[in-house]
Amino acid sequence: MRGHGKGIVVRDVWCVFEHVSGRKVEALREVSLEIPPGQFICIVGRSGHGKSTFLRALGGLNPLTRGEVFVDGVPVLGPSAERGMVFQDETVFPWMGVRTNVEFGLRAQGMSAAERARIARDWLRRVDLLDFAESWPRELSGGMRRRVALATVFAGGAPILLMDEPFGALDYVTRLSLHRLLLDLWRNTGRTIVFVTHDIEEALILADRILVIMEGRVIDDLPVTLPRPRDEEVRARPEAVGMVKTIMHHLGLDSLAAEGPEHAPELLASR
Amino acid sequence: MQPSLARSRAETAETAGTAVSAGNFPSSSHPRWRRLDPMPALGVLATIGLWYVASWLIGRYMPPPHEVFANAARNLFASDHFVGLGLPEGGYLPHLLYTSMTVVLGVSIGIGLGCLFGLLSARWSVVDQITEPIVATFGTVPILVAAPFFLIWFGLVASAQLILVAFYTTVVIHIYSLQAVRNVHPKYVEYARTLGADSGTIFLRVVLPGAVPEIAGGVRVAFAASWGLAAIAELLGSRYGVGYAILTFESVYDLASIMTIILLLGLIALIMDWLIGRVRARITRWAESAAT
Repeated sequence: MRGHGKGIVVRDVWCVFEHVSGRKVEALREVSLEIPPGQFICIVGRSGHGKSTFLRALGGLNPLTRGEVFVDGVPVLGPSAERGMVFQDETVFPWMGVRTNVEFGLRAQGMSAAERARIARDWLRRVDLLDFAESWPRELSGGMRRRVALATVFAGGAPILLMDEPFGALDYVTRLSLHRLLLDLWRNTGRTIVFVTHDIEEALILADRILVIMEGRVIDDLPVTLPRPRDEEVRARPEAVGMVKTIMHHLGLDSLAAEGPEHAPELLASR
Repeated sequence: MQPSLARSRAETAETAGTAVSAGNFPSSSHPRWRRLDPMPALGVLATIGLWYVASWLIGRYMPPPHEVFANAARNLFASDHFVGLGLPEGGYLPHLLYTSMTVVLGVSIGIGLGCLFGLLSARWSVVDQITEPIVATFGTVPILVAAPFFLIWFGLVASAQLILVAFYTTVVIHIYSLQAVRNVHPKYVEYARTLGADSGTIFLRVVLPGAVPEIAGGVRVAFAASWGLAAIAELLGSRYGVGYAILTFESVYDLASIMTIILLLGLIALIMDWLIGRVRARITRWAESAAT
């Protein structure tokens, strides 16, 4: 199980929530797609349009109103160690030391203490936190805590990793270094990664494929064929710029960029 | 005297805040004496000053500070005066020890039972539904109103005060621990589940540690209230303890001794509170922002 990603099949998934007021909200509508093993897939969309709901559906954390999710042909019925999750906050347990955090998944799976320590050490080395193994999470910076979270989910051995805007709250430079680290870990382990972000540039740096979700539907599915590493030069290529424009258009943000200033008052008025 | 939800929320917010905020390193270490704040000392001096003024105004019903301090020094470990009043040998000490034992034992029992019921309620909603009305009733009725009943029911076995303190603490800790568990962010539980933890592991290694700081806050509240509770319950009927000594002094208008024993009990309460603070800081050192 360790070392290889698994494929995901999503078939006609609907998630309908009922508000306290009785109003029904269709957070996901007829979502169907296939994610091959080892793919790095980014999901972009405006907030409140179903990105996180989709990720939680893959994780088995949300009940589906209709449809099914399969991992290697087996239906997903609830959360499991096969699909590790990284959240924006609460990515580490503050009451456990760094090493204990990284060992948490291994311990839950019943691994012996010696084996746990060996694997945790290995992953702490890979995220360059070996010197902080005995620190408390509060003693680390936000970026270091994200590295602890990455070490924890990778060490846990899940073939599929689900990440919900894990670097959202970080500064630009820290985010760039975490992108590099995450891509390294991904390349060396071949895990399947589904990564939710509101940042189009982040998606362009990371993804093999970008899904655009609006109003609960997947409205576009774009393969990213740009060569890696996707530094600024690569991102300035016409095909990359075109892709950003397409996504901006989907998100309803194109009027500002593409159309002339004569449209701006109209846009402001319509808001 | 009752813990308010607002307080427990504030506690959680405080600990969560320190846990999440980045780079909370303790500032460069100054010598301890430099960090000593002169304000509390000023407060103590002001209190003593006001006490002198009150004593001068009220007269013999308000003994001045130096008389009380002298009384404490004279009678702390032995007092012929007290023996003359029919009290046991040993000055103030046996009364203070008795009441302290009542509080420590009662609160300890209450912490155990309160955690048990609170955590069971958090885990199984059936338990919560059954205990809710009981806790709601005793959580809102001032416990001292119930004190006479405890004395009538349990007075004969000389442990009415103990049971009263234990009961009060159970209610407080039940409320705090239940709320503490509910305040543990659900994302932690989800995170643990996606790492493969079963519900037993999640309860022991995620929910419980996450709830500890807030439960510790409840312990502090229970302790603080229990000193007065035990002493007043002794006033209502006991043959031992600080309350009983106060009753005896009152019968001969020995106001200096009453004030002395109250101050001594307050001093013990302060020391206990400090100790609990230390233990709490030790247990929740993952959440504390700097050494205290």
